[in-house]
Amino acid sequence: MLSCYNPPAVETDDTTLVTRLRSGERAAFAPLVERYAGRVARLCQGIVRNPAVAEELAQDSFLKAWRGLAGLHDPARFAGWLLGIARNRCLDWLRQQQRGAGDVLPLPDGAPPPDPRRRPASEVLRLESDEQVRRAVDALPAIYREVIELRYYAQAGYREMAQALSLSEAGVNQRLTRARARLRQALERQEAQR
Amino acid sequence: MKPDEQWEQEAGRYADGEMAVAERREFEAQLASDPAAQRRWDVLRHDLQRIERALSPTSSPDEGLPARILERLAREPLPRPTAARRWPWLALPLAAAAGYIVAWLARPPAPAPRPPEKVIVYRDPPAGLVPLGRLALATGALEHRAPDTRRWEAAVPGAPIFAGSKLRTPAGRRAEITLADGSEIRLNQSSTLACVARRKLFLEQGELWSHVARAAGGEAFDVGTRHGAVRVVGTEINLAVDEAETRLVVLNGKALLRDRQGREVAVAERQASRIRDGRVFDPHRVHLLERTTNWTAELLYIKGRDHPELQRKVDNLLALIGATKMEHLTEREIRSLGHTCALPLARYIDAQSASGESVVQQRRRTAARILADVADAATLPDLVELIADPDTRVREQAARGFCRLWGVETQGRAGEIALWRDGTQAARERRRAELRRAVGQRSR
Repeated sequence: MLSCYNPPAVETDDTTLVTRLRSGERAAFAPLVERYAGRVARLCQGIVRNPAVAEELAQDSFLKAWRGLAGLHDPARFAGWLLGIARNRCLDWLRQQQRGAGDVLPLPDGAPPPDPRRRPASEVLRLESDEQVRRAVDALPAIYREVIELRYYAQAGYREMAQALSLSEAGVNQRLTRARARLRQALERQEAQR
Repeated sequence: MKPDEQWEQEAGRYADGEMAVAERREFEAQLASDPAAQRRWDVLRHDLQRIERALSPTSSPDEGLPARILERLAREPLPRPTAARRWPWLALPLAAAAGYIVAWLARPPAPAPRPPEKVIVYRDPPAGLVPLGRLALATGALEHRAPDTRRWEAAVPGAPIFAGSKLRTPAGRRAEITLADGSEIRLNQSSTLACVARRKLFLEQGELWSHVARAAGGEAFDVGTRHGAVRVVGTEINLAVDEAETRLVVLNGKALLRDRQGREVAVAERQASRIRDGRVFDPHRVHLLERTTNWTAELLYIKGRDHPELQRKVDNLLALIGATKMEHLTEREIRSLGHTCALPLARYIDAQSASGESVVQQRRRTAARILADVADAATLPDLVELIADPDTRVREQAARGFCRLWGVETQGRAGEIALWRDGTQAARERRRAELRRAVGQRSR
């Protein structure tokens, strides 16, 4: 009779993977990258609004996480910690852009170009509406903007947001509620002005 | 807290899926029993949906992103383990102890044996000795033992090789010998080769590649090892010897491998065989033939970064992409060539049409991705030209390579990559002109 061999279940939760990585198992980082690369890239894209820049910043975020892994005291908080790194990385980039910190060679004007493709009227209206929302997000105070960005761009849950922002989950809920309320008020004002 | 805000917090948790099942049911029951709460919820839900739709990503991140992140991390050392802080009082005595240890380790080392300094160049060969060939190329100083001597001395390119000479390559050094009949021998690091006679060599240890010229009288070309011997019938072989076995790969033509008991197998092109435990094994097919001679890339690079053999090697490896299930191995093989494959990769991208079939596009993109990681400063002008490539992915990767080599800071790098990838043709042309000038000035 053939005997059945049941391999032991592979532990792939963040805590286990981070612990294995710390014990010298380099390959343990790959599942974490697979798991979070999309969310980190979307968060970066939402903040900087440029796919190429976002990808570069997402890569940088993972690099920074790798180098700074010793600073993560609780491996269970990896997701929130990583999203926090990514958001800070994006904010640094935006600040540098605003300061005009130059490259070795300054970029020429007008790049990258706007998308020249024509769109149907209904889509134009929808895009305008979406743009209004994004402008309203940009106008929020930083403490409210960050919860909106983590919630909608990175699809972060309250627990991850709490980890990323060093808040309690109740604190996240409160801040997100207030951020949404401000956002809705801003959109109502915009509607009233049209 | 205002009652309104309290209700909105609850509704927000409901909308965000952050409520437990029981809590959800309770909230839904409240909505069902209170028409005012239901209306309020409908308005809130509408607004939240609008926000959600507006802030949803318009495009998914590139599927290759995780692979690119991992590629970048592959060059990083492992993260440092978290420092234990259970006994902070130990820090001071430990630091003092560490200081003593460092001081002890940093004491002046015992003098190392001096490397051989004398250079063997027989401008007037000893009477009666006719050189079998000469040392044509080396990636550093090698050691040579002249016939009838027991002393190893340094040798540099140009040194003649006589019957009875031995050549030894230290770790990290490789060499090429040209024989008088036109045959070429490349010697890998940590190898020892004895030149026994005309077309008779003995590989004591290490690895050699040989391209054998045909002799006018059909004279055989033999290489002996401690386990047996190989007779090169065709033109190109790779032979490796260590204590346990002799391994033969035939790259071109045919060879005969014979063990010490006289058993012999014919090894055809793209086949390999070995002698182990005193017997010769049946040949088997080699799938990644190019891998066998990757170690010769450094020598080819010295001959010229655009050496046709190097180009052929890279082209052959790229041709495997789309034709094998083990593409990651192929990519690894190309990467193992390091900066020596940069120009061949750039030329491949340039030579293949970006609008060709999808497999060609895939190869071009793979080539660009590797190029971005391995290119050296000499490849900067070639990278700049890729700003005009029709494929956005190729441009993006080329930009990544350019930024790495040019030393562009991360913040500037993102902008530069965005221009290469998304910029209009006119904007990219302007940038190309600027970068050509800048790269030209730097190289001067």
